[in-house]
Order: sequence, then structure tokens, then C-alpha cells
Amino acid sequence: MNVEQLITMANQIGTFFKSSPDQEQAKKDIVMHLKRFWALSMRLQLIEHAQQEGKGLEPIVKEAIIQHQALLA
Amino acid sequence: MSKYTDFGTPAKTSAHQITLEIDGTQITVAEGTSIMHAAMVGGVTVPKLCATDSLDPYGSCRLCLVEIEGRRGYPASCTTPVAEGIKVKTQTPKLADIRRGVMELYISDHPLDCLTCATNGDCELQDMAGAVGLREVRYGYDGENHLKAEKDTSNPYFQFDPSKCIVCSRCVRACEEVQGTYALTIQGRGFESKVASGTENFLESECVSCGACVQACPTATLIEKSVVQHGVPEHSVTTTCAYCGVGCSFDAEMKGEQVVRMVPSKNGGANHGHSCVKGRFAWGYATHQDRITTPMIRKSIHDAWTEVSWDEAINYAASEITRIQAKYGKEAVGGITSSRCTNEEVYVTQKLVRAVLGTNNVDTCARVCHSPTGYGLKQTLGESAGTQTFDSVMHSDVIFVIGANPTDGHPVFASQMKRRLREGAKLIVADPRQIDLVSSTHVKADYHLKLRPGTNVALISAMSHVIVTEGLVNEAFVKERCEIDSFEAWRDFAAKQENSPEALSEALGVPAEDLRAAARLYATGGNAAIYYGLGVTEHSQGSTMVMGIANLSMATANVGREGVGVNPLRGQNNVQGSCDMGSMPHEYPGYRHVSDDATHALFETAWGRPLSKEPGLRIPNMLDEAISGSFKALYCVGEDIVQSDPNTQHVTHGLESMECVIVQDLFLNETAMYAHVFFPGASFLEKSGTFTNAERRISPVRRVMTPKNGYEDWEVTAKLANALGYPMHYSHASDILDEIAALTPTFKGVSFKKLDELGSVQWPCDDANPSGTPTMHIDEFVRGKGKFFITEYVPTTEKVNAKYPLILTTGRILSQYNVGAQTRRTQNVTWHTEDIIEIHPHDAEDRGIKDGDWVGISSRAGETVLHAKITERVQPGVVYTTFHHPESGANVITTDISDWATNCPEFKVTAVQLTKVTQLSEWQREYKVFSQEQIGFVQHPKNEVNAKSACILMPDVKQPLITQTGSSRLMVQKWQADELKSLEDCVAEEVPVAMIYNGISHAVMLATPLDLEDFALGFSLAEGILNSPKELYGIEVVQQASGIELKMDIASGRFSQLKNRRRSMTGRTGCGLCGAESLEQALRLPDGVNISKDVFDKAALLKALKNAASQQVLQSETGATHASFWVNPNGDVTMVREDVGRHNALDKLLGARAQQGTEAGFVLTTSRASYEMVQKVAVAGVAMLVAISAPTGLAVRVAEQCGVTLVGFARFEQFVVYTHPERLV
Repeated sequence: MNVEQLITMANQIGTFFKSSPDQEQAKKDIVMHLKRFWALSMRLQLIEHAQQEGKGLEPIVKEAIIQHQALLA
Repeated sequence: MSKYTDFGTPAKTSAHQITLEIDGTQITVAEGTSIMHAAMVGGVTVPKLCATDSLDPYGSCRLCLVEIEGRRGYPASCTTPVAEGIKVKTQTPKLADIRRGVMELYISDHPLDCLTCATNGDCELQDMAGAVGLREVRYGYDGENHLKAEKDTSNPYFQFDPSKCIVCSRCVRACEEVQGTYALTIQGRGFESKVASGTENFLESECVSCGACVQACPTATLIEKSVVQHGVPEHSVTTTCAYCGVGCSFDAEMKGEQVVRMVPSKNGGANHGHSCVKGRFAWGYATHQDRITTPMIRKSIHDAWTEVSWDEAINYAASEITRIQAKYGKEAVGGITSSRCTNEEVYVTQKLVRAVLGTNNVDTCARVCHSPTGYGLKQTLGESAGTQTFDSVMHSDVIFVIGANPTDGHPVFASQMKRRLREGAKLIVADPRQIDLVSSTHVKADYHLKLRPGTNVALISAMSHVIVTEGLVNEAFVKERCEIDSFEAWRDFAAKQENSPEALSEALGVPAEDLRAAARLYATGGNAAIYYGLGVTEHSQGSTMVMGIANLSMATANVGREGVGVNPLRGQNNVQGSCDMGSMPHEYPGYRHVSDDATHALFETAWGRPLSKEPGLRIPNMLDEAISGSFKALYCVGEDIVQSDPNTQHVTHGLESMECVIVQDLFLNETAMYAHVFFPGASFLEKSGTFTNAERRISPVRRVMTPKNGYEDWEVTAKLANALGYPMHYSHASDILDEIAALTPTFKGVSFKKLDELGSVQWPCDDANPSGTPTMHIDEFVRGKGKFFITEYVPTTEKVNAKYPLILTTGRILSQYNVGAQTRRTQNVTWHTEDIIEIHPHDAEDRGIKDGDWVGISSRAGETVLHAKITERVQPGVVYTTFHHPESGANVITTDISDWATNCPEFKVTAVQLTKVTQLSEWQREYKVFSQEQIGFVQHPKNEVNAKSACILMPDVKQPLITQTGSSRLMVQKWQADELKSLEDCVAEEVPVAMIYNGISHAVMLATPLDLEDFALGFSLAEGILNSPKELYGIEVVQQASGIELKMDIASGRFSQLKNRRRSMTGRTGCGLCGAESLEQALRLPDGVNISKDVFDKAALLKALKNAASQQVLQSETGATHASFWVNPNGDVTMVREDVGRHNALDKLLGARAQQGTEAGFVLTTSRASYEMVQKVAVAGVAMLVAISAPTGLAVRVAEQCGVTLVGFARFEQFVVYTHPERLV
């Protein structure tokens, strides 16, 4: 799947949750959203991208993925 | 037949009960009840005509008079309320005498044609004549009467025969009280009084064809044309409409397996006996000739289809799925269901995908409409559904409509809403466009927040700010019912200055004071209910907005009782149900996540197969994966993703990338054109099941006729499962519903038996709520405590700029439904022949665009061309269109941008530019060729006709095609240099044009609909009707359904002369319709023609072309004549006739042929081909008409309908085939 599309979608999710006053909770919410609504193949592709510099990903999204990748995989 | 008791006047509710005596019987009813109603409760029928219990009493017919002991006179029982202890007599000699006298007067001005009347046996006037014992009518027809009043047949579905009208006003009151349109009135007084629509006929009026007037009419005055055609029905079956999310209950009134009419059920929980033009009348698609009823398969989308048996089709599909999963893995396949499917069909499809294919790659069309509703309401309130009943609106004090257009999208509920608004409820509308609710008869919005597309969340933030900072939060409710932490975070967020109306006003384009006033009204105006539609969900922040709406309702305690709540207006009939049934890739039926251990175990045990705990692919993900090469097969049931999903090019690219696309549908829809297997579907009239409407109401769908394709849709899915090695043996849809109930807590108490008992039921329906749950979240939210979410406004990335300076937003209209596959195959096309683009006058002027111009609409995704409509309904900077016609390509220009949580596409915001153009877009031209080719691939003979007619904008020959350009476009086949090519062609239109002088129709001519005022004057002068242009005082060009009227006001002296003469235009060489004086007389279509089965060799045609000219003797001498030739199958010209008139030449030839015998062959003419020429050869049974020049658009359509092969531009070595090319071999 086109990774650019995944990046756009992941950043949109990050934009919603980052308005939470608790940024750690926001990261968990981002990851849980991906876990609950994205197919495994898409998540794995996103993790792989995040691990390779994560170009284009919003910082909070990248951090969330790296921090909670065990949950996502 | 369903026969409902008519109590005459509406039921009343009151805590105070009244007891009275009627004809010696003690009866107790609620205070305020009419004597008529009370009598019916006690089993006493009072004669009546103007009363019916769907309308307020009127008291005009004087049939329902009664005597009340101790009171003077004879009061009307319909308008007289009950009183304690009164004694009423309904039958006395005096009353009988009065009633007979009243009936005698009615009948004296009513045609006595009962035996041949369409409502014979179903007529209240007839019943009352019997009831009052009318035996004679002393007044003859010598005096003035209405018996020759002209019938109005302009509406395609019903007729108005004023000769049968008793002026009871039921139709007028139904239009006002039930529908709320106020299209009808009683015009005149006394004998002159009559029902009038305010315009020349019903079609031209404000009438929305809801059918309420037809239903209310006690005689045959207003009657369905289908009843006139088929007669009175003999049995009925109650079922549920297959159109919008209101889910109206209908009685399908039948004669055998023929639907005679659909009558809205009085007991319908959602509609209470009301209907709209779609549900009541637009059911003809179910038997439309475009239906495909035989399974088909093919290897490639570039191959013709092969019709096969069901077993062969099922086995082929199963083998392909098996092959693909073996080669690419089990995740390479998936399924898509539709909101047009029943609950049972959706359930078995998702079960097939999950249990049989072993993947959760299943999705539904709610992905592109209300998926944000499911997500947003689940997060905040705990359940993915609306909170109320429709009836709840009658308890609302403030109605807040956001991004919805109920009068068009949910018309029956809109009528109920308008009723409440007329009673005094306040109305706030948030919409970029002026929807009808903003200002219509007796309804006016208190605030129309005309926000810019894409700024919904800014709106909800600004309103939240007002509520939080002005102390309008219901603290007690929040404290008791909601999560305090989440509330406080939301409150702090909302209170920020950046969320104030003043800060957001500019982004919204709405004055801050209006935002503040609307917020105050919502929070303090009493019961406040929010109704929203796709204008909320189809945005990149769709889910955010849904959560924002829930926030607002919780903060103001406007949830959890009648009259309030959060009410998503679902677009299609079963959006709620299809989502309930586990059609989304992350959840099982009942909105339980696939990773939930208990749910997972429950379904693994029930279905007996290992199930995945991973969410599957959504529709756009499937297409992305297909393009990238890992998704290879799709089972698409009832959905048309090519037409309804965004970025058409992306969708078709995805489908083209798959190896096996299986489509199950009624018609060869746009997606089926990319399919390899076609399973014919069954219409809602042909199957059993349930639909769940926007208020969670589960209603039965009952089979009224045998499926034309042989199987109900769930049976087809079960067959596929069986072929894939998974036993799925249900004997009836009720078995499936039983399984759903056993596995889904919210459906636990639902069964066909219960639906038979209750009519319908709103889920949750379980042990605690065995009769269902009308209002949700009464004592606590489904999730326990309500949860607030911070809803920060994030502008869409779809920005306007210099290249794309306008915002396109999309919507629906009343007469059409979704992709139009159903409604386009009904007479609803009368009201909407094509999608148009609405543009504000300022934007149009800037671009030199005039009303009716072809306009190119370009976006970052693509380009299409539509006709322009200049209107102030849209604001400057915003343009609007619908997507009901595939050739419009509305989704060619929408983009891939989607909601952050659900991938619901941002249909409502597309940056575009509009420019005036002269031809279709490249996509449209390619589409026409492609669709023509695909329809041609269907080898069923009946579909060959449709291949061509589908390419003509308006296929009904009785509805002339009146275009701004005077022409229309269609696909043709051109034969040139031994090669056949499909290409688009432009043909001139001819339209009946009536010359009307001072209100009197004088003549009808067929003309190209251009420069008509010049035509009128020129004709009038040439015919000597006028001597000078000065004698023409004024002219009005009026477009009618059957043509154009040129209404001229001329000098009285000239008009007097005209009246004294009859038309004398005999022997003309033009194209006048001799003798026709009205538009209705103009198009005399051949009836019951018997066209020969001859086929012809192309070589014979070319041979005749080569030799014919030499046989035109008179033409060679004078150069002034036309000729018609008879050509035999060998290409020899065996007869020729010449005349200065081309029609005359043809008439002479056909006359000679009739005299000399019917040799096989065809007609060749030296002229162009008009509609009349096609008509002439069709009447003569001739199979082919070849014209040297071009045919008109009307000629093509008539030839198409009659089965005549029409060839034009036949000259030298080439010709163009316009219709029935199969005859040329």
C-alpha cells in the first residue's frame, strides 16, 4: 500500500488526539486507534516506516508508534 | 386487503375521560374527542365524506349530522366534541332525509359512470350513496355542471379528474396538514369553487407528488394511474420501503404478482400513513427491462458476458476465490455490502467473509456516509445509533438541523418536523446552502447559519464556548451522568478565547452574534434536538463533529428523554441496520470489536470456524491494496462503489487491478462493468428480511412477488458459502434473524413473529425491553458515564487557491435516490433528468456563465462537465451538485481526503474551478464509449435496446428533450471503410411547439427549441394571423412536460378573425403537424407496431446508395425534389417516388408498396429523418429507414422504441447506425 497515504492518515489521527492535555495519554490513544481500526498489514508497514526515520510523520505519531510498537505489531 | 378503520377525526389524548351515549350505547373516550370518533370507537358508523382521521375536522359535507338530545339543530359530528352525559342519535328519519338530500346534490354533479370508473368498489361517494339510501336524483344534467371539466394527467403517477370532484377539500388539507407543502387550494366560491394547484397543472405546481392528496381523495378525482391501468387491487402485503432512512411502512396492494399501488401504512411506526414520491410511486424499477435476471461470467472485463446457470456461476466464483486465496493468501479477498441490503443479507455476507474466507476484510457503504456517526456516538454515548424516535420531534421546542436537507433526503420525517415547526418550535439551520426548511410556507428558520463548507467543527466549538462561558451548562446533569474529568477538559478547551464566536466568525463566515444567539437558543429554549446528515459526517473532521454534537447535547442535558437527542438522519434505508450487522471490518454484529475475547469466542463457537482477531481492510484500503497488488478478489453485494465512492479513477483503477470481481445487483451497475461474475439480485418486493431505519426501528420486508432472478439475495450468498465448503442452510430469512438474535444482545428479543405482532420494534429489544427502546440513554448512557471529547477545529487540507477558487459541495434531491439506479428507472426522471451544477450569480457573472450553459468543473482529482443553474441558494464561492447520474461524473472530481477516524470521504469539500465549455470532459467521453461497450457485452436480447437508450439523456419519447443548445448527444456506430466504430454524436432536437393566441391553442409544430420568439412572430405573420409585429403585444415561452407553449397576446381584432377560421395549412412542405392543436395531440406514437424481422447486408445498403440517385428523374430535371426508394435485400431499388415534400414522397412510396404487395426490403430517403418519418415506416412495419442526412433526437428515440433500425448520413461509402444495429449484418 502507498505509504504516503498511511502517513497522511496516521497524522490525521495524531492531530485529533494531540489536543489532549495529557500527551502520554494522547500517544496511547493514537496507538489504540491504529490497533483497533487498521489492518495488521497497514500497521506493520507504518511501523517499518517509523523505524526508518519516519519521514513525514508528525512527531507525536512517530513517537507513539515507536514507543508502543509491540502493541501495534 | 388491509382495511384500516377510519375514525373520521384524529384520536385525542387526555387525562380526563368523557362518557356519553350514542344510539343507546354508553361510550367513554378522552376529552376533546369528536362525536364522530367516539361513535366509531363504540362501533357506530356515521356517514361522512369530508372527514378522515388523518386530517383535522372540517365540517363541510353535511353528511355526518347528528341529533343531540336537548340541543337544537343538527350539528356535524366531526366538529362537535363529546360532552359528559349527552345523548346522541346518528340515525333518525330527519337525519336520513337531510343526508339523502345532500347526497342527491353531490350526485347531480357527478358522472354516473360507476361501472367503468377506476375506483368502482373502492369509492366513498359510492359507499355513502348506498349508506344514505339514495334511490333517485331529481336534478338532471341540463343545468350547469362540471362533468366536462378537463382531466389533468400531467403528473406521471396520478391524474386529477375535476369532473368527479366533490370539493370536500380533503386533498387540500392533506397537502397542508400531512405534507406541509400547501400546493393546493380551493379556488372560487359556491358553484365555481374547485381544487386548484395555482398553476396550469399539477406538474408545474409546487406539488411534490407525495401522494397524500391521492390517499385522502374519497372519489376517483385524484387516483393513481396504475389503478386506472390495472384496476382495483385484490390483496395487500405490508412491507418496508427500500428508499431512505425513514423506513416507511407500505401496503403493497396487489393483483396476483402485479403491484397495483403502494399505499403508506396507517400503522407504520415511522410514517403513520404518509409517504413521498419515491416510496409511494417509484417502484417500477423492480420490473424494469434493464433488470438482469440470468447469472453471467467472463474472464476479462474486455470480454462479452456469457450467460450461465446459477450453479455454474456460483461454482465459477467459488473456484476463483479459492484459486486467488491459494495463490495470494487469504487476506487477498474481501466483501462489500450495501445499505440497500436487508439485515439478513448483510449478516450472511459478513459471516461468509469472516467465517468462510477467514478474513475481516468486509466493509459497507456506510463507510462513505455515516461511519463517523458510528464512531463518534460510540465514543461519547456508548452506542452507534441515534437516540430518539421520529415522533420525538413533536416534543421538541428547538430543532437544530446541521448539514441535512430533510425535505429532500427524508421527506416523510420532514413533514412531521414541519408540523412541529408550524406549532411553534424554533428552528436553527446550519448549512452552506439555503435548504427548503430555511424558508418555506409557514416555516422559517430563526437562524440560518450559512457556514463555509468544512467549518462544522469551528461552529460547534463556537457554540460550546458560548454555553460554557455564559453559564448555560446543566451542571447537575453533567455531574450525575458524565465523566467529570472529560467534561472539565472539554470545558477548559471550549472556554478558550480562540474558540469564541468572535474568533471563529471569519473562518465560519457567520456573524458572531448569530452564533451566540443560536447557542443560547439551543441551550435555553426548552427541549432541543439535533438532526444531522452527511453535511456533518462527510468531512475530514466528520467524527470530530459527531463527538462535538454529542458534547453539546450532554452539556445542556438535551439527551435521554423525548423531544431532545442526537439524531443522525441516515441516507439510505438500511444504513443503521447494515452497520448493526457487523459489516465493518473491525466489529461483529452489535458493534463488538473483533479483538474482544468473549465476542470472538462466541462467534467462533457459533460459526464453527477459526476467526481473525485483527481488523480487516476498509473499502479505500482494499482499493489501495488492489492497486499495490495484494488484494485480488471482491464480492460486492448491492453496492456500486464506482459511482458512489470518491475519486472514480482511483476506484476503477483498483477494480481493474483485481482478478475476480463478483457483483450482485439488480442492474449492470457501474461497478458491474468491472466485474467478472454477475449474480442477479432480487428487488425488495421479491424477498423477505428486515430493514432498520434511522431511529433503530426494525421493520419487516415481505416478499410480494417471485424473484425474477430465481433467488432472494441471502440465498445466493448461502449458495456461494456452500460452494466454498461451508454449510449455510437457512430455509427462510427468519432463520437468519433468529441467529442474529441469538448472537447479538441488542437484538435478543427480535424475531419475525414479534414483528408480525408489533409491526416494528426499535432496538435494543431484549428481556428488559421486550417491546423495544424508543428513547435511549434515559437513566444512564450505554457506556455508563457520558464522555466528552476535545474537538479542536482543524481546517481541511483541501484548500481553495487561484487555480481552484470555488468549493464544491454535494447533496441529494427529492426525486432521486443515491446513485439513481432505482429512481432513474422510474418516471421520477420527469423531475430530474440530469445532475446540474448550482452556482451563485456573482461567480457565474465573473466567468461569463449563463443559466443552462455547459460548465467544466475541474478539481485536483479530475474534470467533468454539467449544465449550470444560477441560483442564490448557494453562497458566493460555493457550488453544488448531486451524483444521481453516472455520466455526470460527480465523483470524478471528489478527492481521496477522508475523515481521520473512519476514512469517510470528504464529499462536502472539493476545491474546483468552473469554466464555460462546449463539450463533455475527456472522462465523460471515455465513459460513454466504455459504458456503451460494457452494455453491449450483455448478450441478453432485451438489453440491446437499453445499450443505446442508456446513452440518450431522456429515453422517454413522450417527454421531449428540451435542451439549451437545441441538440443532444448519444452514442452511435459509424461504418466507414469496412470498419465499425463506436463514437459520440450530436443530433438536433425537435420538440412540439404550440402556438397559443390569447389562451387558445391554434396549431402545433415540431421545431428545434431555439429562437422560439422569432418563430412565433414569423409564423404568425406568414400565416396571416398578424399583419404587423405591433399586433403582437407580448409573448411567453412556457416549457411543459410534453413540449413548449408559445403564449402570445395579440390584438383583439386579429384574435376575433383567428377564431372565425380553422387552421388551413394543408399541403405544406414543412414539418407541421397537421391538425394537432395541443401538445398532448402532438406526439402520436405508433401503438402495437409489427416490425418485420428482416436483416440486411451492409453491402446491399451501400449498393443502393450507389444506384439510387440515377433513378431520381424529376430531381435531375428540377433539382427541387426529394425521393423515397424501396430497396430489396439485394440492394436493388425496386420503387421510387418523388415529391417536393419529403414526407409526401415517403407517403407515396408506402402507398404504392401497400398497393403492390409487401416485398421485403427497407426505405431509403434523400432527406433527413424526422420523427414523423420514423413513425410512418414503423406503422408500415418496415424494419429499416436509411436517410441521406441526419436524424433528429426524437426520431432516434422513436426508432429505438419501435424497433426500427435507423441509419443516417448514408452517403458515399459510409453510414451511421443510430438504433438497432443488430439488423445490419
